[in-house]
Amino acid sequence: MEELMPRLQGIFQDVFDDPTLAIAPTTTASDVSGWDSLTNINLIFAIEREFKVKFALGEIQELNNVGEMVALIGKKQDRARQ
Amino acid sequence: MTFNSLAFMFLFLPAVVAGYFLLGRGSDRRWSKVWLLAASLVFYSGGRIETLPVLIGSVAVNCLLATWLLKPEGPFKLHRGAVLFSGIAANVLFLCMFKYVGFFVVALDQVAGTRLAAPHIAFPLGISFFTIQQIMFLVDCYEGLIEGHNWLDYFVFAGLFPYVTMGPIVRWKQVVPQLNDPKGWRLDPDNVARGLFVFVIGLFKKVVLADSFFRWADAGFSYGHPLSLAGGWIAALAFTFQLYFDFSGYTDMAIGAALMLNINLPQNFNAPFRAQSISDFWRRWHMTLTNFFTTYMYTPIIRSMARVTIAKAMLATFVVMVIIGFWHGANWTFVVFGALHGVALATNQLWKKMKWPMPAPLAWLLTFTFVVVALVFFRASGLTQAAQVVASMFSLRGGLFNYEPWSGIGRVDQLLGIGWMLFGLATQVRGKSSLELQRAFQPSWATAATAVALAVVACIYANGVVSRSFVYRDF
Repeated sequence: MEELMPRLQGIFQDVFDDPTLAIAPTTTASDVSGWDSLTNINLIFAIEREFKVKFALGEIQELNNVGEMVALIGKKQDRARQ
Repeated sequence: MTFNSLAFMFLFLPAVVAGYFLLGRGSDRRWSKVWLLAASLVFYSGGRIETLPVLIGSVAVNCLLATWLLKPEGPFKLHRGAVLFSGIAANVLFLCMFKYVGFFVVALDQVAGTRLAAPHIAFPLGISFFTIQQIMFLVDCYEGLIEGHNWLDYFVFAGLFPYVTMGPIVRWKQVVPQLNDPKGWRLDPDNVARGLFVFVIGLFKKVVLADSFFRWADAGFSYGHPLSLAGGWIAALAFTFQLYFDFSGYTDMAIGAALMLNINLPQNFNAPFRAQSISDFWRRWHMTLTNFFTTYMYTPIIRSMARVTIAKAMLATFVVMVIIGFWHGANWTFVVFGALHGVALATNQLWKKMKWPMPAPLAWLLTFTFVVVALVFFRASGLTQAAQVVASMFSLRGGLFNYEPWSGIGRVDQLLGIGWMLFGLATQVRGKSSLELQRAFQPSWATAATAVALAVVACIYANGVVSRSFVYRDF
């Protein structure tokens, strides 16, 4: 999980166009201004490209915070390695 | 049968809850599920028995489609993607057949000059809701989010009485694991108390508040002549609150009834009139519908684009909102309602992208006013009526404050009307939402007394005032 966070933070800063943006596992959409359905999709696409994973539509809806996002990326990477 | 009928509250619901837990005492869960399914079918038939086969047919076909989608290969060597595509298309066509055929025939007659007669088809209760719920399920099956299903679980999931006619729109994962969790197999007094409390709040919202606002809304919209400026706003505001209290009241009752069975349903409303932007509004209003369209329509559209620009995203937003509007009903008024929200949401996207500032009070006022005006199209019987009411809200053709026009509603009632509107607004902006009340719930004598008082008043209203059918029941 620790190794994913810095890369994820970079993606967040890029998508939200804010180089000072800091995220934590507990960060939710309501903590970051401008995190709406469109930026969420842009975020998901950027994550998919960076980590070479693909999210199911239903999974995108279920993500409640950054921690869950990290856990899901980890799970998908593990599955891909198997 | 509706939630606010005495038969539902005093006979059906207690019998369903008691039967469910009595039958579920052993390790064999089948009978309690069969009981739930039978109860749901009785509930549905109590609304419109002639369309019960439509519900059963739709659920059976989707269950079969899911069986195919859950296998590594589709039937007859069909690609799973083809099965999913045909399944979604069949569901959409099915919905169109029952809901939109008349609309398309009339439109064709007007455009092409044909003289086709619109067929009279009985509108199946809840079809808009159970159709999209099942589309969502098929997509989840295709994407590997469902591990397995069986006929009994699927029928209970698709037809469960708290949500089958009007939502909340639920996903398999939100309901079935709870049904199969042994923790929920015994009657939980805390959940029953909490469920009753939420149910009573919803009942009060529906029969006391919504049905009272109905009078002003109905008088204004059915007047037929230009309304005064005050009259136009009273009618529009009254409908806004009527709709909110009606639908969120219904949702509270659904959530409360399900909670008594140890099933937590997702929330549908979160104080929508506190929204400070139109996208914020849709995150708080009919949330399960917004989630469905964002996730299963907007996201795939955006995903299919090679490069997402702000212009393309705004266009996608607009298209999805028009479809959401049309989903509500086969009338041009709903198309315009969706289109207005589409323009507003797209503008909001651009505004955020440009990082233009807007003071919070102004943002709230603009959002709220827009919502009220757009809902005029939602309520009006046709575009002419909508245009008439909107015109009266922004002109002095009918005077500033005219007592005469209100059919059956006199001077005192109009003043009372304004009082009600202010009360409605205050509860929305300042008061606790049902969600907050539910979270803060603590069983105590004071809470019990409040709930009983609300229930008594509501029952008097339900019995005395002509109780209105739920607005979303026709969608």
